[in-house]
Amino acid sequence: MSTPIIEVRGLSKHYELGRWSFRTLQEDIRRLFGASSGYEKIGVQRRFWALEDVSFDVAKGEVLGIIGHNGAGKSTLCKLLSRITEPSVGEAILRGRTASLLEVGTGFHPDLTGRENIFLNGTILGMRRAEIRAQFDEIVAFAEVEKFLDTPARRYSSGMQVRLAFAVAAHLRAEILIADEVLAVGDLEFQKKCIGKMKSVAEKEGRTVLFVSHNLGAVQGLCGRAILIDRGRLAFDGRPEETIRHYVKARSEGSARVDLPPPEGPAGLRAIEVVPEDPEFGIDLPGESPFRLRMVSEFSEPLRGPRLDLSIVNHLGQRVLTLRSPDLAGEGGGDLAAGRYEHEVEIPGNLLAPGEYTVDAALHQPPAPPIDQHRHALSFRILPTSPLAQLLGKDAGLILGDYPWKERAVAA
Amino acid sequence: MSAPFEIRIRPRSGLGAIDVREVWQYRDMIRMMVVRDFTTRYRQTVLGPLWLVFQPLMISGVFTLVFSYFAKLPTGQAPPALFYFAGLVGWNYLSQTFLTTSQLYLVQGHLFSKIYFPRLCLPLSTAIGNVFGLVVQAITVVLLALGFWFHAGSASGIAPDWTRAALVPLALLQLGLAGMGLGIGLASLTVKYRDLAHMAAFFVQVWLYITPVIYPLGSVPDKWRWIVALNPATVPVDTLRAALVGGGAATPTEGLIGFGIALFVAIAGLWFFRQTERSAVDTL
Repeated sequence: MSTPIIEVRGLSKHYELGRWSFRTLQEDIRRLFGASSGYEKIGVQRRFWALEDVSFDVAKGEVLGIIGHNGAGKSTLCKLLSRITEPSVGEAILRGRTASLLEVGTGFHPDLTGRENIFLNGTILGMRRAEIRAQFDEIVAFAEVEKFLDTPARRYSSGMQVRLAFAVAAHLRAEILIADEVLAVGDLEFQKKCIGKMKSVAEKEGRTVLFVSHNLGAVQGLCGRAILIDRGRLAFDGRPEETIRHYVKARSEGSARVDLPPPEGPAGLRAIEVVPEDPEFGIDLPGESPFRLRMVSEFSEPLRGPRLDLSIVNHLGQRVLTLRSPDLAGEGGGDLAAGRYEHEVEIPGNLLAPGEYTVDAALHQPPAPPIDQHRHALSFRILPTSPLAQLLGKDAGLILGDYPWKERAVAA
Repeated sequence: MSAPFEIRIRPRSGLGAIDVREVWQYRDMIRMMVVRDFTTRYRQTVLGPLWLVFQPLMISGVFTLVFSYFAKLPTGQAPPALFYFAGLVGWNYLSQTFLTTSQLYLVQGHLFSKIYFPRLCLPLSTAIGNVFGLVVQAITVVLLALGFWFHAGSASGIAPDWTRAALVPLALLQLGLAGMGLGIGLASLTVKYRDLAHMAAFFVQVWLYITPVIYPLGSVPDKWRWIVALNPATVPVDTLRAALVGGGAATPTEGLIGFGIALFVAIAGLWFFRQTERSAVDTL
């Protein structure tokens, strides 16, 4: 094999917890005097390793999927590879120009028109103006914003912004494209288009793509290889199907209750739990018996009309079942007071086909984007124990239906 | 692939040198940033770029009334209003550059945490973009001076100093170095110490009084001149004004000292900036 285009060797990044939160000049001056007179010892700082000793190679033209749970270190890896932040230990060698698309629409200025933003965004990503001009028509056509070129970006829908941002980055003449969660925002049609573009960029132009996503289906469809990052470490490296299996399994082996980190916003989910009918089952649920999903939410301020959304996703990344709670504040509307709440929903037995599932949970204030969301927050397994599932075997499809049937004889 | 291109990402040790070549590669970004700042500042405003003229015009008016008419402070040969305006040309450039760059992380922090580019591009685009305002204001002074001159001839007291005019590019460079250097230095410190964010405006106010904007440099008593000369803004403001309406008093020694200090400030500011840019993203 020729020299890899990306070489990552023992890459690690740690953050000092608690150090940066409350620091004022006064405090440092006091500390200075305290330390010199021996009165005050400098507190022990807790280190948090966001990424620990990660090594892998990527060959030219390869499309590498990066999967892992929220906070596992995927974003840190992307930030390191796109040089936004520096590693604490280790090194990475990139043998090519790198374009990264970590958050869509950064570098867009709301007061500038689409045309101006294409040039602004392109140059921030390191393109020359002549290059942008040469690719301009293609970018515009791909983003489907012809009619809005001279409209300020502030009037663009979020979908249009995503399309434009992706189009600019994808048309960069960079050898390496890093895309983190880009597809989460666009509509389905455009997601397909992006995946198609990334595929062709890799296959036809020999460019290398690092694709970070929670969309397991997309990872499987697009990538030739995938790595799993779990708690800052490289947990698996191999074919996407296998990596996805490890990913889903990693959670399945976990506990029935997952505590979630405190939300950044005014409200969020603190825990999610699968509650079987018989507590003995844990997260391996007999297909024929109902089970409940229980969530704990926390509101630091009153919120109007919050709702919970749950998606049950199968091992292929397909969303099999979508659930939305009624208004948590009750029928009459109004605000939900600050505090902690527990929510439960029951999923009937004989519904989900046997297999491994994960749950996406989000707290919404429709129609606004989620206040707090957790992809693959929890996993469980439906065992092929129900008579129906045993009858069907592997051909059970996505959902089973155990509904009343009626028979009667009819005249020939 | 053409030339072997390689980026090594590793923990940085010591003071990494500024990669000038990389900044040069991103020159189009600097250019677009200048255009962006200009467009967004004036789009949807009634007066648009006329603000550039309107603001110093108003301030010169107030200065004339308060300092010249009420307080009877001397302004040299030139008409007081023109004297103040010509002094503000250099001063505005400096204070604008300083204030904007000192807020770099507060205003543009989101860019830093999402996209990589040579960090120096942003303050550079500020320092470069502000030259436009300086030029517009200088042209306004020239037009006003011509008006006075046609009206009163040499009795107007306007006598551009051509020797000093030749030093204007240097004066401009010095203002840019000092304004940006102090600005990015303060910006870097605000990452660690939020308190300092409040200091910039206060600092500018004090700075104005130790810079010969309201008074001519020639009116400073000799025994205090060295203090004024330590201020890197002194000589450029004096030079710019002399080039426009005359009345310059800076000596070559003061010029050298001031330039040296501006250079030092710029290097120190860059050093701080390089120190914090790597951790700023993690702290913001």
